[in-house]
Amino acid sequence: MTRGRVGPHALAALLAAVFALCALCIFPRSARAQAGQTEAKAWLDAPTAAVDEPFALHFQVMTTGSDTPSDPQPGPLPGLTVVGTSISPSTSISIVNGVVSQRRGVSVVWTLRGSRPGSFTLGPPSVALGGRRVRGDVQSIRLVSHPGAAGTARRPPGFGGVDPFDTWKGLFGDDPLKDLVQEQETEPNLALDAARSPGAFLHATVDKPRAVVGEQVTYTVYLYVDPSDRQGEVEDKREASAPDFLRRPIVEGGRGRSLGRARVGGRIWSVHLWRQTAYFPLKAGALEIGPFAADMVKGSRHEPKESERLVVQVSEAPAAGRPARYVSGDVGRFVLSAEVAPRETSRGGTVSVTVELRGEGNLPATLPMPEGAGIEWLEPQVREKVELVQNTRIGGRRTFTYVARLGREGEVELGSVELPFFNPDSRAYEIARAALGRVHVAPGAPVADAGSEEQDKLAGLPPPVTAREPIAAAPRHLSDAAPFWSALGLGPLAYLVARAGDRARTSLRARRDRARASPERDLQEKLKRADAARRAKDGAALAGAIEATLASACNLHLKVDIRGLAGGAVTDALLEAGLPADAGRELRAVLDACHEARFAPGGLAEGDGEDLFARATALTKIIGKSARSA
Amino acid sequence: MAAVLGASSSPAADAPPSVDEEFGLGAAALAAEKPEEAIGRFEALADRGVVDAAASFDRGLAYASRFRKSPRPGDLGRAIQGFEEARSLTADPARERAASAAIVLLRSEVARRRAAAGDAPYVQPGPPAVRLVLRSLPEDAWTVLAALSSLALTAGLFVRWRASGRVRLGGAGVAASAGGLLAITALAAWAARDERLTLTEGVTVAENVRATDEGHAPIASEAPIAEGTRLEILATRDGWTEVQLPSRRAWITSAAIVPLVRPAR
Repeated sequence: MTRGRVGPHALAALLAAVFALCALCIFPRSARAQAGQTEAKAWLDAPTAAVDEPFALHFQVMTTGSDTPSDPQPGPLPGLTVVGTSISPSTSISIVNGVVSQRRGVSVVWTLRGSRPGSFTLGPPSVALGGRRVRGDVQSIRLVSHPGAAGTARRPPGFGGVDPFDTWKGLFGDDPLKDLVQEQETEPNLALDAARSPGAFLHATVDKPRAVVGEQVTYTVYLYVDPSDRQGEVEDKREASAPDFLRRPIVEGGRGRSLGRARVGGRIWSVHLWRQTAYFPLKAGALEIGPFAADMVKGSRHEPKESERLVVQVSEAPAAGRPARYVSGDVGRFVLSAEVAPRETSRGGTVSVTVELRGEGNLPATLPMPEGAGIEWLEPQVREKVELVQNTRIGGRRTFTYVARLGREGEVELGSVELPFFNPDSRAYEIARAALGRVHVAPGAPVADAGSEEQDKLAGLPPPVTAREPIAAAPRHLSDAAPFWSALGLGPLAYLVARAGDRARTSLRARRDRARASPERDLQEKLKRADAARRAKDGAALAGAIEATLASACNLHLKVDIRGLAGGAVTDALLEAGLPADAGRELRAVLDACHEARFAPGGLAEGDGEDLFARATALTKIIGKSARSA
Repeated sequence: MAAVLGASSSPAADAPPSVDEEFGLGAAALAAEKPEEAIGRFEALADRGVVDAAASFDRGLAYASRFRKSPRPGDLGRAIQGFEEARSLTADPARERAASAAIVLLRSEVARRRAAAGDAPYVQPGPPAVRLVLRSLPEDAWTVLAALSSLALTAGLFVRWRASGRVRLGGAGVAASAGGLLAITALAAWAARDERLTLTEGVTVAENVRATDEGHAPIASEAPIAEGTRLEILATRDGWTEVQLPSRRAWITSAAIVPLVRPAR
């Protein structure tokens, strides 16, 4: 390395940088931008860095006002290259002597790289705030050709911040500036009811639980560290999986930045921004963002840590007011500008049309180019620059360079590019427009139509329809009426019912007939006839009826037909069938009395008839009982 | 000479065009050979839930026109889908014939392109035989036939019961025939009603759609499905759609098929 003579410009810059550093170290508050209640601080993470190795320029602006800092710029960076930018919002509430004050602001980290050794002056960095720009201090750094000569990291002048490139020592308790942070100063929006695990844990959030397809959802993973739990490192293991989202990183891996302290379950924990990613949902539905995983390494022990699994409810942008040619997912705030060159050509010639799309959100990948007879748009070349455009919002610009072939001569109106999009802030559709104007096309050679080959093959397509044909109300169908299906079975059912009724009637009649011809009924009938004869005082009829009744009773209960028997044979047969002997004798006597009465000239005396009927009735019961006991 | 033209962004129109206005603008764009704009208009109508045979017809035509002018993947399939939808929605026989003719023309183009690319010949799978039988008569015809069969069955049964001799035999014959007919026609009426209420079909809008099994692994025995193929949709889940192929059920990615809007049911 050759040392050159230090010029007056470099000397002045060096002196300014030294002054700024001294001012930061000795009079930290003198660097405040005294514009209202706004504080701006800038610092480098090291006074020396190696060539071709990245180092960081930090810039933090905090304000008590309502305006939010925006449009951060690093300022002049001669000889240095910006290789990355990280922008994060910041909020803090301080309670000092009972006075509560809230500050909000932004922290910006520019990752820089130099390609040659030497001393460099950077900045001043600035942000836009309330219509003016708030600036930090000019910084200086020395780049050396070999890494070993590079200095150690430097702490920020105030805010209690932690160097994002040397996170771990700051995380686990040996931060020399830790005590500068007041114990009372916590971030209320980072407070949690309880710790997810002891020592340290990951906590993930999204800035909105509902979004439309294409709307940015900012996903943040915080690392909470218990200050009393010392020693350890964090190793990233797995990024959150989100297959239904387009992913754009905001804060990349390995960049833990202190956000201050927060109350977790009544205790103070330090909180670090670990990941921040813009996710653009690709479809509607309940879309999941998987857990972010890391290992907490303490000595040889690895403690796996996972953040929460989150679900974002995503819907299509509202159908009401949706313009024609709106493409699902075109969500954000966009503007279009266009440039056409040249404005004159000949038939069959081409012009270049460059359309630049700028804004925030997921920049559409294609543009709906205007159509016109004799204008053919060739495939565009696309260049893009996607970046953070405001705090955590992703945006940038995408430039489409088209070649338009003009096939008709004269003044050709190219029309205008119109891109409908959904603005998530106003919840309304807007249209970005860029008029392309006219091009004068001079006469030239006839142009062959590129689509002529296809046209020939599809020449038989019908002409367009110019009148609507709304669909009439749904026709009524017989099968939609429930009674139809019932009626279908009604006839056969009626037949079955009729047949069943007929069968039931026949069965009933047969049963009645059978009941009418039974021996019991016959016995009862004969007994009734005997009783009737007794009442009519018809001795002969009574005697005959009693004989018949007793014969039926014997036949029914004892299964002995006494009509064919005579004299003692009757008694013997009944005794054999189980009738008691005295009953048998009584039966014999009654039958004899009846026999005599039937053939006696005077019949039965009145008293004899009553007596005979009573004896016969009693005998009938005895026969029945003897049969049951047998 | 170069000129930088204005950059602007403005709210969309205060009141979106009415359905009639949107249709008119789409038809005008189509007539002015601006298929891109026409597609936007007719797709916007579809997004608004407008069911209109003419809009479907013109949407198909717009995609076909874009295919002729500057073809994009899926244009042929979407054109066929528009005409298929118009064909099933329209009550105008002339429009139905025109849509059918356009479908034949577009499918011929698909077949020609497949042949040129060396793909398997294009075959539009027909509906299953049972469904063909069902569709041989209108749904109401099946219901009327079922009702008549029921009446004949009832009469035959009563005659068989009450009459004697040859008349009784005749009644038995009528009852047997009408019973069989009732079973068939009632089943057909029920199936036709079920098809009217539940059948969902779609048209593939991508070239060579791979059929996959339930685990979304490609089915080696199934040839890729050609663009513009009309298929019955059985289910949709997690970005996949289950369809009925001639030989089996299969899953295809939902982006590759656009459902057909059915007439009022």
